[in-house]
Amino acid sequence: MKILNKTLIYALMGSVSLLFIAPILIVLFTSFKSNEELLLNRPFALPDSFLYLSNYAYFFQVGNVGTAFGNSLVLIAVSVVGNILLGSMVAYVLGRFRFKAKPLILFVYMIALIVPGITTEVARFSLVNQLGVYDTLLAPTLLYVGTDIIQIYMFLQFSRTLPYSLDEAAMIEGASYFKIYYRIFLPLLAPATATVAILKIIGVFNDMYIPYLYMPSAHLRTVATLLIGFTGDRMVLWNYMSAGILVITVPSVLIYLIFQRWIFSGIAMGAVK
Amino acid sequence: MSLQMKKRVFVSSFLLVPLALYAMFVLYPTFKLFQLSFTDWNGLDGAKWIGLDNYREVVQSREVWVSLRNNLIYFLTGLVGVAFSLFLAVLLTGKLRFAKGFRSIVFAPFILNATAVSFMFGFLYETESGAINVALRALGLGFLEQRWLSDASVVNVSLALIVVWKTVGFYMVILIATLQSIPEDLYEAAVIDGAGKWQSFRFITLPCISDIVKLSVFLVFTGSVQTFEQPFLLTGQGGPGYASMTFALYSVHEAFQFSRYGLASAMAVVLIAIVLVVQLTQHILVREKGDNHEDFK
Repeated sequence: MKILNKTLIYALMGSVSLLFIAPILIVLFTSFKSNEELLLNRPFALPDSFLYLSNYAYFFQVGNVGTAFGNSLVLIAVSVVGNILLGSMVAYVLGRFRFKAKPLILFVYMIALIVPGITTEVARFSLVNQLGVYDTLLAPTLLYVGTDIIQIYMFLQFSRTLPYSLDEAAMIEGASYFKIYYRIFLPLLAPATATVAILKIIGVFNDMYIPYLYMPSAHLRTVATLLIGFTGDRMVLWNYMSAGILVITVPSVLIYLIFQRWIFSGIAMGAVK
Repeated sequence: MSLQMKKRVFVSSFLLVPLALYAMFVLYPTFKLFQLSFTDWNGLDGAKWIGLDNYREVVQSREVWVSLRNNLIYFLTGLVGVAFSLFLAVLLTGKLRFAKGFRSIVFAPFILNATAVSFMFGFLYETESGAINVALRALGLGFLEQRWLSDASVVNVSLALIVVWKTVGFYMVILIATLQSIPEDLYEAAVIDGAGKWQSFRFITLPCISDIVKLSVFLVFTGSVQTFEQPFLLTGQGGPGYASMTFALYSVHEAFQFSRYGLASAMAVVLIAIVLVVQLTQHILVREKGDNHEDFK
């Protein structure tokens, strides 16, 4: 009875896994299929040859893939660094100091948690326009750095576990506040920083809405908006599209495989919030 | 400089840039949104004050109600997803081989690019060549075939299932984390008292995870009222007709396609109000149980 039960559970786990792997396999197979193979309508069949690369060639040729990856990298680099610096500064001040405006600031930051980002875009759009950064890489960068505040909470929460006695000891030795932040607080925050960085990298890499809205120019496509240009108004050719889907999926999968541990701990941390 | 003064200078200097950016890109647009919602601003000319006209139009518009109904479908489908996540999470807490590998596989879609995932399902849902219909035909279940993305009666569920596929692993992971934090001896004591499997689940597991389940339900809710990408990418912005239009997509549509920023702003305000009401309700529900929500007050 017990063995039967176990077998049943493993069978169930196997079929559920299949539910999550099969779509990716189908896309993988399709990306190596020629137009003639595609027309056979056999999505589960292996391609005639895994060396048929012309879908990938076409995608790289037409898609401006290099530029898109470059743009995404710039956005990621600037917003990750910006978020970590500004987020840790705010967390340091809010976590280590008492001052009158503190409750007000905490309250004000709550607003971003309540108001769905997608709604304010209507009003934000004209502001970005007026600042003269519309259709430049600066627009998404400013928005990512300025509007995302989740890292403040993650840093604040983590900093509670850091002993305050270290700050005091440094203070007795005459270190300035800035020095304590820079030499003690920030380095001790490293585990949280790693988590914030990885979640932020994934977030920016995957965000389609903001780049689509604020950077319509073709040379400002990011990895996430790359595929939109591929649909056009004619029928989608799924073998080309599959190659594109895979090209932009592979980096996420690599990041996931390498940094899984931090991602899971970050999710747990976020959930506690 | 006195210590007090030093502290004040330091605190202000550290808060200056982050708060300035925040005020500019979050507070000001939110304020502006409320203001614009009472005008007929078209993005260019001076805006004229039109009172509650936009709100009247929002309430009377058929498309808005269709959109809201569709958002509700995303919510309900999402709830089924959370139930499935809970089922998987409970399954995985038993001592099983491959549990880690299984968790990694189920979670993976959560970090994949949403655009890529949407298009992937666009392919799977194709009527003739799509894997789902092909598989149904091969299994002799051809009568279950659907025009997944062009039949008005199934399109929303099809799109909502994409979200479920992408997020099941996320909810599973946070539920597993919570389940693992339940002390083992509670279950042992229950067994000694003669409790069966179902009773242990009902009287120990469920109460211990109720807060995180509520959080999940809330996350599903905020996610579903903001649904945008799937219909935007896959059904030609809400088609067929308005059948898969969502609230967020419709407001973006009104703003950037028809330059009706006033109306779109009013819709945004309504959305904020909806989220706020639900959030308050959730807060009260969680508070009731005397839970420690001291963080960030």
